[in-house]
Amino acid sequence: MYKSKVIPYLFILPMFLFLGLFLIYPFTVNIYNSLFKFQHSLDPNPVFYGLKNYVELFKDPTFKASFVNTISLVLLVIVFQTGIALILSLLVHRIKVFQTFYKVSFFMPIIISATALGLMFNMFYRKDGGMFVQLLELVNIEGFVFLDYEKTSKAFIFLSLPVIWQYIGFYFVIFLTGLSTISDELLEAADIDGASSLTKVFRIQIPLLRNITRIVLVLAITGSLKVFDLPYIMNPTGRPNGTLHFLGTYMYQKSNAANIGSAAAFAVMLVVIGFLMSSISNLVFRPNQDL
Amino acid sequence: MKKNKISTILIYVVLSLWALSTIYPFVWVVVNAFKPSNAIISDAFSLPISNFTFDNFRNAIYGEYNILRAYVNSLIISSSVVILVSLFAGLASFALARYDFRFKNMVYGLVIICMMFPIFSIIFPLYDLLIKFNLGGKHLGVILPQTAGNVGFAVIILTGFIKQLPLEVEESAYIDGANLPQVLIYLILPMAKSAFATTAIFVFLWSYNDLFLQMLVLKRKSVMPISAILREISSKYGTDFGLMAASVALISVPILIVYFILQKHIIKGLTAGAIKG
Repeated sequence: MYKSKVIPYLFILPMFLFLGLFLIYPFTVNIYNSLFKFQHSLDPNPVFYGLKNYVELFKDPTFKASFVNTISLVLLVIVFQTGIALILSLLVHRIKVFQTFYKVSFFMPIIISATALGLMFNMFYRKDGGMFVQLLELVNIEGFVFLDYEKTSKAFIFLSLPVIWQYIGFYFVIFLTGLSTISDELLEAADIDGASSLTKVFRIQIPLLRNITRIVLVLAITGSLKVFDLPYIMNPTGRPNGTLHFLGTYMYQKSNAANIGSAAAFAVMLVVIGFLMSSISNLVFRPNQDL
Repeated sequence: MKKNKISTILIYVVLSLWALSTIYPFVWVVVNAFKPSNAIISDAFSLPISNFTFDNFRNAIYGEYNILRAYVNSLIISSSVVILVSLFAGLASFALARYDFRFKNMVYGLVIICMMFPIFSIIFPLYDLLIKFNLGGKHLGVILPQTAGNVGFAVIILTGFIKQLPLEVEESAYIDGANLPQVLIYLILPMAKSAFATTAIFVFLWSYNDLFLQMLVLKRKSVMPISAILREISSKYGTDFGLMAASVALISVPILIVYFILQKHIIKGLTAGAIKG
C-alpha cells in the first residue's frame, strides 16, 4: 500500500505550481530587481546598481523611522500583548464558571477585519466628537488629542494600541491551552505543601509554560513585522513626514515609486529582517527538552 | 476563606473589564449606526430613540458604494479560495502523510518558508505577473494568489491530521477492492472532516478580511469585495460617522454571527494552526 513513486508527485504538483508561480517566482524577481536601478516602473533597460539600492535604503531617514517604529512595536507587543495575555489566561484558568464566555469575548477582535477595526478606531480617536474623546469629557478631561501629530511618540502609542489590543485574545487562548496541560496533581501537591497562589504561578505554571511562551513570542514578533492593514487605514502616509510609518506601510508607499529596484530591495530586507528576528527569538527561547 | 472570596471577585472584575473592552466597541458601532452623524459626534453614548434612522444603512447599501454587491464579490472570492485550497492542500497533505518519497522533507520545508513571508513583500512582481496573465481587475487575480498564500497553512494542519488516522481502515478497504480515488473520497475525506472544516474556516476568514490584494488588484467598484469597498468609503466619507458606523456594522455583523455559531471550531482552528506553523 502507498508504494507508488508517481502518485505523491502528482498530488503535490498543483500545490507546488501555486507556490512556485505566486510566491517563489515573484520573490526571486524581487531579489533580481533589487540589484538594478529603474528610471520608471516599466523601464526596459534598468541599470545594474549592485547593492546600492540597499545602501540608499539604509540612508533613507523614513526607512530608519519605519524600522525603529516597527522594532518599538515589537517591544510593546512582547511586554503588553504577551504580558496581558498571560495574566488573563492565568486568571481564567482559576475560575470555574463563565470560562467560555471570556474565551469567546476575548477572541472576538481577531475575527474582525483590520480594515473595520481601523475605521472603528478612527471614529474613537477623532478630535471633535470621537467616542474616546467624549468618554474623556465625561470625566472632565477636555481637548485630549489621541493621534497628535505634533507629539509623535504619543501618536505612536495610540497607533499601536489597536494592533496590540486586537491579538491579545489570540495569545490568551494559546496560553490557556498550555495551562490546561499542566497536571492538577502538581498544583494540588503544592497546595498541600502550603504554597501560595503567587508561588504556584511563578514556580510552577510560568516555568512549565516555557515552550508555549516561546511559540507565542515568535508568533507575536513575526506578526508585528507584518503589520499593515490597521496602521494603513489609520495613517496611510505615515504622517507627519513619514515619521510614523511602519515597515509594511512604508514598503507599500515605496512600491509606487519610480525606482522599483528600491522597493524590491525593501521587500528583500523585510523578509531578511523577519527571518533574523524569528531565528533570534527561537535561539533566545530555545525549547527545553525536559518539558 | 474570606480572602479567597475577595480574590475571586477581583478576578471576575478584571476579566469582565477586559471583556468589556472587546465587546463594547462592536456594540457601540452597531448602536450608533442607527443614529444620524451629528448625533454620534455630539452624544456618542445616547441610544437611538428619538432620532432612530435607517438612513446610514440605506446610504451604505444603495449609495455610491453598493455593499450588498461587495458581499457577493467577497463570497465568490473567498469560497473559491476555500475550495481551491482544500482541494490542493488535501491532495498534497495525503501524499505527505502517507507516501515516502525523495523530496518529502524539502517540500515540507518549502511550505513552511512560503508561510513566512508577508504577501506585500512580493507585491510588485506579483502584480506584474497578474497583468501578464490578464488577471488585473478580475476576481481570479485575487483568488489565485490568495490560494497560494493559504495553501501552506492548510497543508500543515491537514498533514498532521491525516497522519493520525489509523492505516488499518484504509488497508481493509483496499482488501475489499476499493481503489485510491474511492478511499480518498469515501474514507479520508469523511474521517478528516473536522480538520477540513477548521482549515476552511480559517482560510475563509483570512481571505474575507485581507485588504492588501483586494485593494491592489481590483480597482473597479463593481468587482470590489467588502474590505476594499470599506476602505474606499472611509477614504472618501471618513467624516460621515453614521455611514462609517453602518459600513463597519455591515462588514462585521455577518462574521460575528458565524463566529458565535462556530466559536469552538474557530478558536481551536486558528490557534492550532498558529502553533503547528
